[in-house]
Amino acid sequence: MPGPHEDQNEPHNEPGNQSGDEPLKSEFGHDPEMLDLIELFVGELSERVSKLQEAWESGELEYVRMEAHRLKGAAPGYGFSPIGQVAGRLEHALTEASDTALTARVEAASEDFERLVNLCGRVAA
Amino acid sequence: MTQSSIHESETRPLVLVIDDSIDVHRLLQARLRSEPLELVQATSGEAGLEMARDRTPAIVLLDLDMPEMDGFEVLRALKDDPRTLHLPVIVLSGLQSPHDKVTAFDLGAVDYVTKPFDLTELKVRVRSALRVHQLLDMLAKRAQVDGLTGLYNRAHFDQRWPEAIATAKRHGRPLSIAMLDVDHFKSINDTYGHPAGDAVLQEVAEIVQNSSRASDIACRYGGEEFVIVMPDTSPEEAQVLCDRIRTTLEQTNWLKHPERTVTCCLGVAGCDGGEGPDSDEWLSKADQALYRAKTTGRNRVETTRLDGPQLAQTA
Repeated sequence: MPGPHEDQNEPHNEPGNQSGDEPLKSEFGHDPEMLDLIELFVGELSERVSKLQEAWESGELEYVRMEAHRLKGAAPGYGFSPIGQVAGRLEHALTEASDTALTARVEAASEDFERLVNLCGRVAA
Repeated sequence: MTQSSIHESETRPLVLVIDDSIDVHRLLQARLRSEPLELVQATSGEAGLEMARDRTPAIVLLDLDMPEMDGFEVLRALKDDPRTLHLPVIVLSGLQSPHDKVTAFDLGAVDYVTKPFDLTELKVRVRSALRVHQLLDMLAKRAQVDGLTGLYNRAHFDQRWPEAIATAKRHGRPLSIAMLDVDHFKSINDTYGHPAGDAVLQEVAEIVQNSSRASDIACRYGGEEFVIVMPDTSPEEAQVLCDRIRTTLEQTNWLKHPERTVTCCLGVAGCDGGEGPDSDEWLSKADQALYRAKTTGRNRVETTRLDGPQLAQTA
């Protein structure tokens, strides 16, 4: 199972931990090779987040973990590293708490889940 | 001489990506677009295994954390199957623990890249794996090729001949084999020197290759002997092809010895479908036919039908 990330237990000082409402732009926004892909990712993200929220509310935490795992791997590729970092923390929290009761897992991961939803809501192509 | 079937592939190497994340497929497609390779994609372990078996990619990029069949299971299955055993696998995974890495390498992965991956680094790792794969592939192919003539060598024949018999028997298809021996070859070497003898062998190989179809397997058997395995070919059809080889060689003009023609004998053994002896005996029948051609005047084709009456010789 995933080991701790380098920043796993560090104070939350990267962009992903800052609440706010400023748009989150792709680091690859200047790369012509990536523009269409970034637009596609951003366009699909709201639906992905809706499904993520539905799964979270209905306690389907394995779905949440898998989606966090995918976002951890993919978001930095689109130039959204903060999303990847927070998704990685969410995945880790859910994995670490996998043997505990549902409420304990939700509690362990809720902060990162909220942060991820916030970040995803701020992405802009 | 060269042979199209044993050239290094000029097509772009196939890279199979097995990952349940559509994002990873999109990103790799975009970022590896400029590389001289072709990407094929599978979004589950099961689909990836099937593609690995059917498409024989040059390398596989494999995710580990996938629902249902995970990457470790895929890796195990790839290494358990002789068709995919030697496929180089680069693990591309978000699992970062040393234990996962050790397990992946123990199962046969050649490299391990953690997600999120740096695409420049991934490109370099893919290039490196492809380079190693192409070198190994080239060495494996060259180990099967005769250095003087460019035809397949005896080792290749020893491997392919029993396979050809098994295929013909399984499908009830015709199969023939011909053995060719250059007449008085020693005297050519002794009279005109070994370079002239080598030129004769190279010319014979070229004639054999040009006369054969893509499905035939032409090999240098050793010395001045050659064999041609002809799938889906009756002994009568094989005899026609062999006679064409014989007459072409007979009519060849030689720069180093224009006053001397070079001829050959061929012995054919074949049958129409599904029958025939084992590989050694079948080859021995062709050798006996060759011996008859030698002892009845040379510059001849002798054919043995293994499932019926003997055919007439041609000269």
